[in-house]
Amino acid sequence: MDDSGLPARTGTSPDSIERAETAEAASTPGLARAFLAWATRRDPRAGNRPTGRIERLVAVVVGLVSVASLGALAGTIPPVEGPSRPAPTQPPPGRGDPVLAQQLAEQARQASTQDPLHELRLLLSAHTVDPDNVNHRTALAERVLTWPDGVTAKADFQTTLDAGESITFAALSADASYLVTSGSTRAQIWQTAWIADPPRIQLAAELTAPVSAAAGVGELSRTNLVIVDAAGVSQWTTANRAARHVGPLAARADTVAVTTARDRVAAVTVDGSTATLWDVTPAGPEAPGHPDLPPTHDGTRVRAWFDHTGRRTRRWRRHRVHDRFPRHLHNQEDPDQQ
Amino acid sequence: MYTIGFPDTSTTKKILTSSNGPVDTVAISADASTALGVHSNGDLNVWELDIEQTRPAGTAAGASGPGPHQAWLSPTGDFALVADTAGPAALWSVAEPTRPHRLLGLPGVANPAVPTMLSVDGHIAVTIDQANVLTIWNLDPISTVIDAPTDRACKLVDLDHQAWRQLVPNEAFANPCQPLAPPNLDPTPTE
Repeated sequence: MDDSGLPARTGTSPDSIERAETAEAASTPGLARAFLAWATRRDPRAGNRPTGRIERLVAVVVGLVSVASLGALAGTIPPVEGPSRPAPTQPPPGRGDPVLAQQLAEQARQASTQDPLHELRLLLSAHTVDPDNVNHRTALAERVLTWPDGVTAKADFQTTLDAGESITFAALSADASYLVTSGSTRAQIWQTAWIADPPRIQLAAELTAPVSAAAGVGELSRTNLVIVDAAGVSQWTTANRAARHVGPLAARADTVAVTTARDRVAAVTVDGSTATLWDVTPAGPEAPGHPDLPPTHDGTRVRAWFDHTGRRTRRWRRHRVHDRFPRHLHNQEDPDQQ
Repeated sequence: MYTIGFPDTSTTKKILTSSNGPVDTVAISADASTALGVHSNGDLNVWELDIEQTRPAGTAAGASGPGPHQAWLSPTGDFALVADTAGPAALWSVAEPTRPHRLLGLPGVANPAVPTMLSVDGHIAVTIDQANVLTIWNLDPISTVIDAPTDRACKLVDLDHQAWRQLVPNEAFANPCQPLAPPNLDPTPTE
C-alpha cells in the first residue's frame, strides 16, 4: 500500500515491492515460495510486474509450463557431433555383385566346350555385374581376342627404307617417333612421321659405324637418343627432322635404356654386370640446333628455335632462298591470302 | 590426431632367378606387379613382384623362337606381346602368372629382319622384313579390347533385353549392349 491508500500495482518504488514480497514469502511455504521469489525477483529493467496474488500465481503456472515445454523440446533434439571428430572410415562398398559374377563365370567355364556364344554371353554378364574384378575383365578380353575373325591389327603405313644394305638391327623410340636402324657397315636415324599428310619416313641422320644398341624417348618434335656403336656410347638429340650428336657418354655398353620424368631425361647403360645411370637432360635454354624445315610453296623457308623441352622459343621466321629453289615456286601466289 | 607420412624414396633390390639360361629381354608392367623375361632359347618366364618369391611364378617353355627378342607387358601385367625373328609377334595372357598361354599371333611379315618393335604404350608395332620393307601396324583394335572388352563383345553376341534378364534377373544391372536411350528433350507433348 502506498501513501495514497491504493494498492501498489505498477511503477511503484522498490521499497514498496520489497515489502510486498516479504509479506507474501511469509505466507507461502517450501518450493513454491522459492520459485515464487525467483519468478518475481527484482529487475530494475522491469516496468510491468504482476503484483496481485492471482496474477503472480498465473505467472508461476505459465513459467512452469514454459520450463516443462523447454525441457521436452530439448529432449527431442539429437546430440550434435563436432566436425573435428570424423566418423570412423569404412571401406567403400564395391560395385556390382561378386557372388553372381562368380556363378556366371563358373557357368561360362562349363559352357566353353559346348556353346561358345553362350559362354561369351556369360563372360560378358560376369564382367558387367562385377566390373571391378580384373579376372572377369581379362577372361572376357581373352575370349573376344580369340574369337574367330574377331580382332586384328591393321597396317597403317608401308615403305622401303633406303639403307643401302640389309638391316640387321633396329630400335624404336618410346612413342615410335624415331627409329634407329643398322646394317653391317653403317646406321641411320629415321623420323617416322607416318601420321603426317602425306605419311612418310624421313632420314634424320646417317651414322658411319654400325650400331649395336639404341634407345630413345621424346616425341616427334624432340627426342633424346642414346646409341651404342664400336666407338662407345653417345647421346643424340633430334629437333624435328634433324638429328645432332651431343657427346659421348661411356666407353662401351651392352644395352641401354632411356626414360623421362618431370622434364629430366635419364639413361641407363649396362656393361657386363654393371649398370650406370646418366642424366642426359639437354642443358641450356636454347636449342641444340635450329633446323631448316622443307621449303614452303612460295619459296621461303621457315626456321624455328626450340628449347630443351621441345617448345618453340622464337617466332617462326621466313626468309627467301631465291638462289636455291626454282623460280616458278617464287612466283606462285600464297593460297592462304587469296 | 592425423599423421602425415612421406613416401619411402629409398630403393629396394629383389633378385629374380630362373634356370632357363641367359635372359634376352625383359619387360615390367607399369604397376610393378609383374615382370616378364624371354630367354635366348625362347623360353618365357613370369615373375610376380608383389610376393616374396624369387623363382618364376610360371614358365612357358619354347614360347618363342630364337633371339633376339622384344617383349611388352600391359600396364596391369595381364597381357604380353612377345616377338622374335622367326615370325610375327604373339599376344600372350599372363593374367594367371602360373599359366602363361598364347592367345593369338599378330599379323606381320613372314621373314622379319629384326623382331617386331613396339611402342611403350603398346599401340604401335613396327616390322622390317629382310628386303628392308618397313610396316607400321596399328594395334588399337587389340589394346582397346584389352582395356575395355564390352563394346567388342556386344558386337559378337546378340544380347537383347529378354536374354539379358534370363542371365541377370536383378533389375539393378542394365544390359550393357543396349545403353539407355537419351532423354527426350522435344517440348512437343506426346499423345
